[in-house]
Amino acid sequence: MIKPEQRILLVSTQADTLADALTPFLDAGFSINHVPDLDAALAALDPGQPPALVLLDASNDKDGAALREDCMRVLAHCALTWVAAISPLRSEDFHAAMEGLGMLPPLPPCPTRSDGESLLEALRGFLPRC
Amino acid sequence: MDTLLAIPSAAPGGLDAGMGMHFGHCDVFTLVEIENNQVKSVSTLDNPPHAQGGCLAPVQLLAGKGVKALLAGGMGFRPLMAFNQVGIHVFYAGQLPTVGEGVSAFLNGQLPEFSQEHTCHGGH
Repeated sequence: MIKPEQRILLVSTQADTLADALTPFLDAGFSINHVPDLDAALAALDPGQPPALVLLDASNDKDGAALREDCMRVLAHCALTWVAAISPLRSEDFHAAMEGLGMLPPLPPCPTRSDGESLLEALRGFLPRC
Repeated sequence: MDTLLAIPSAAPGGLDAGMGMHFGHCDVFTLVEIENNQVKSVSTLDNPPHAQGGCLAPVQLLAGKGVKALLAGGMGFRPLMAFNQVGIHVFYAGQLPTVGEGVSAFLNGQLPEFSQEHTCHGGH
């Protein structure tokens, strides 16, 4: 069985605003591969060596439709990774928009270190060694 | 046809059990060993607890047991993609009430491949 690597694939055009939220992952030994868009992410995504997490920045997606489409493209390429998003949607709206995709709980726009710690904790539930 | 088939099932599992229509939340998996297109053995496997984002747990469990085919009535997009990517073929058996009837339909080649159109939005 393929095991995800301790690595994050970050898909964002504003990675500088995410430094605080990513600090807990760096402290935990994760490496971060940053790409600006989904096409670059798919090119970087090796199904045989999946990252532990693909983090999609959908800060400007108001209804989740584009995010859902992007997430499905990621999973169709590599479903053996976990996917999380940065999204302005309220929790219940996010869940309704993303049902069936098995996404981790989202981060809010401009996430804090505490938000990053929560996401790392959720991911750890599935990757007990990280 | 020789294969190991898994069927999401209501407790306690087995051929007489009801199909577990919600794949990720089924009570147990019934494992059916098929040899020469006949049932050779039947066993059960507990389904791990299912948390948000945890769709991969049963995929990894069944792949680790050597399962090659799965019958399901409902499943989300992610586990369907994951099963496909680990080489487990998924067939749609949502219209059949019991595991045994699902297995018979599988052996008779009557089940369609589980496609994206069959995926549910959650509750899998």
